[in-house]
Amino acid sequence: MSRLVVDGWGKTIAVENEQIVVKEREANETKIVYRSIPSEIEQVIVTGSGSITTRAIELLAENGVDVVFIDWKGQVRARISPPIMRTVNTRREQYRAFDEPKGGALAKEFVRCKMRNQMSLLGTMAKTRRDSQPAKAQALSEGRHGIELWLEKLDEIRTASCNEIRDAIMGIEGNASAIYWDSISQLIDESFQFRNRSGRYATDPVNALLNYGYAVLEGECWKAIHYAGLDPYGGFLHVDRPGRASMVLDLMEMFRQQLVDKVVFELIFHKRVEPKEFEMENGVCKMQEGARKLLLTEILSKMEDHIRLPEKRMKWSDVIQREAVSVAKFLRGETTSYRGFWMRW
Amino acid sequence: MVYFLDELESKNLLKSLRPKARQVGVTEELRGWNWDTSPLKPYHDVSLPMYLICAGYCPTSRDVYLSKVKGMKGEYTHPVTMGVIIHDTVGQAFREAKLKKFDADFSSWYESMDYEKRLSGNFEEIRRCAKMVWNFILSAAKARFESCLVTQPYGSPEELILTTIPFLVEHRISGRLLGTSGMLSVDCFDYMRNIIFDLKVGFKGDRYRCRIYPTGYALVFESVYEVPVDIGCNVFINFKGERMIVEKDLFHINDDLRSWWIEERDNKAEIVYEEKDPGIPPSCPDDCIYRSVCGE
Repeated sequence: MSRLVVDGWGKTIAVENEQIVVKEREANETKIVYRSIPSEIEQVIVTGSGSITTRAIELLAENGVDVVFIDWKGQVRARISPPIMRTVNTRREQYRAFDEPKGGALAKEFVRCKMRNQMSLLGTMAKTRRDSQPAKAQALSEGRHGIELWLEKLDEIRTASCNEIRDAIMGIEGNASAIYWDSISQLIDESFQFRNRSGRYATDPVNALLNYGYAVLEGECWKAIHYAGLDPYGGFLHVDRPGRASMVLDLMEMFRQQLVDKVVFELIFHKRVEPKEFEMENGVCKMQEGARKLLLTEILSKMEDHIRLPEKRMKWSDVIQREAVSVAKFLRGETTSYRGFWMRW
Repeated sequence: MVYFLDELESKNLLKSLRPKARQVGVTEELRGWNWDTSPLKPYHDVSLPMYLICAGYCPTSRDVYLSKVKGMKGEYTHPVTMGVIIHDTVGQAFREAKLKKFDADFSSWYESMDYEKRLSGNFEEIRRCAKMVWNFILSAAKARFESCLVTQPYGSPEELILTTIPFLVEHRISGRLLGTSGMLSVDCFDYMRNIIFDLKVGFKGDRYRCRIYPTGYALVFESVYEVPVDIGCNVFINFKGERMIVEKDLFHINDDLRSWWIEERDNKAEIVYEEKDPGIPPSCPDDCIYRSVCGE
């Protein structure tokens, strides 16, 4: 199974002899640059200004392949998925759980795992710098400890419905994230002008990389949520807002650090991307083609990497799927508790 | 059968656990022989005994602070004394068995140890339990040895003993490479099947947490001998009236357990290195050996 990434102008995804092909127009000639049977494709990512034919969409949908469109700012603009496969029961329980302690428990668990992963990443980075950069290692360890203190406060929050505890949870999450990004900012070279996590509209290269990486992760989480029969918009931690896939964002919280942050930091620390590969456009920092391709390749290859869980050796993309299914099982009452995903290092 | 696996446990080991361990594997960085690089390389220049790293007695790890920073010794409560004596009994019984002294006298050995002068507890009960353990081990070892004698007519007595009782009991090993004590004592290492055993006496807590002990010893083994140790086993001995109950938890020493042990070691080493008192927990375990200190 492979992921098909189509980027750049003039490329079209089409069907030829029941196969998915990518055509590219050069001068006055159209040539086929990719060909595969649809059952061999796991996901199609269209980034930049590529196009796709209706027949290609139908054939991909028949084979359970979803298609994600990501713009240059790193936002998911649209996605096309096959019809959902699970019963309506999952969604009914998902909506019901929002007003019950079950929903609050999920929100709390998502944040707990996020903070745990933040601690792990800071701890790992501290250890690897122990000999070469002791002062920075010490600062990272302190950051890790700071998050741990907030984690203790999170554990003290009694489990109740989302509305009752969400503000408190988000407050703790905000404080932990401030410590995390402050610790990270001390490691990044001045030339990247990274001050803090800016969110949607990146004003510096690091945020541009992060936004793009998170968009790829969002596509993966969306797929997982969809196949688990959950409503991507019915979240617990993130507030409902028109067009906001809150449930997808909830699930993502547990994977941002291990799947995106780690990759982005490695690219920066090993100088595989340089500030000169970014430019400002209408106040938004934009990656050039090379940096964007490199990041995408790294993250997609990470998705295919295996990690060792206690019982299994699994691909990262399967781990995300497994978590979404576990959330659905918990909501349907098939399990009595939900333990999220986090790694110790 | 203490360290001998019964038929079901052997089936589980061979048909389920070993194949799973091979399939899942272990990340190279988490092998003990990579003690000189992150994440295994110790953070601080502190050496801790294995029990302080692994025991989850105190929720805040204040036991580590009191022991290594304040230099306080905990009290010998009845469960602690029972644990010490049963461990000694198991070790001595296996030593006798290896010398083929299957009818060795328990009483004379027990008296020679002078436990009642050094420790405190209900010795009548402890002695009774220790004798049960002694008799059980020697009987099991004798049965193993004699059944092997009839099937291996050409094996030398030395070879038969080494293959039928393939255990290094109370094996001394240095944990210095991993920031643990220079003289650790591993309850048992089965050198034929490459399994680390740890013995728990009268244990009533979270059995999953106990997996961290064999994990720590496996990492130390790997750091010293540079051979992979992938299977651990906790042996729980409990006593009910005149009967001894032995249960085993065999498991794969996977990445999760290895990372967990590293995290515990680093957290506790930090307490000692920075001499920081982690504070008294909201509630103290009943059998904590520092209960009287924290309660003051």
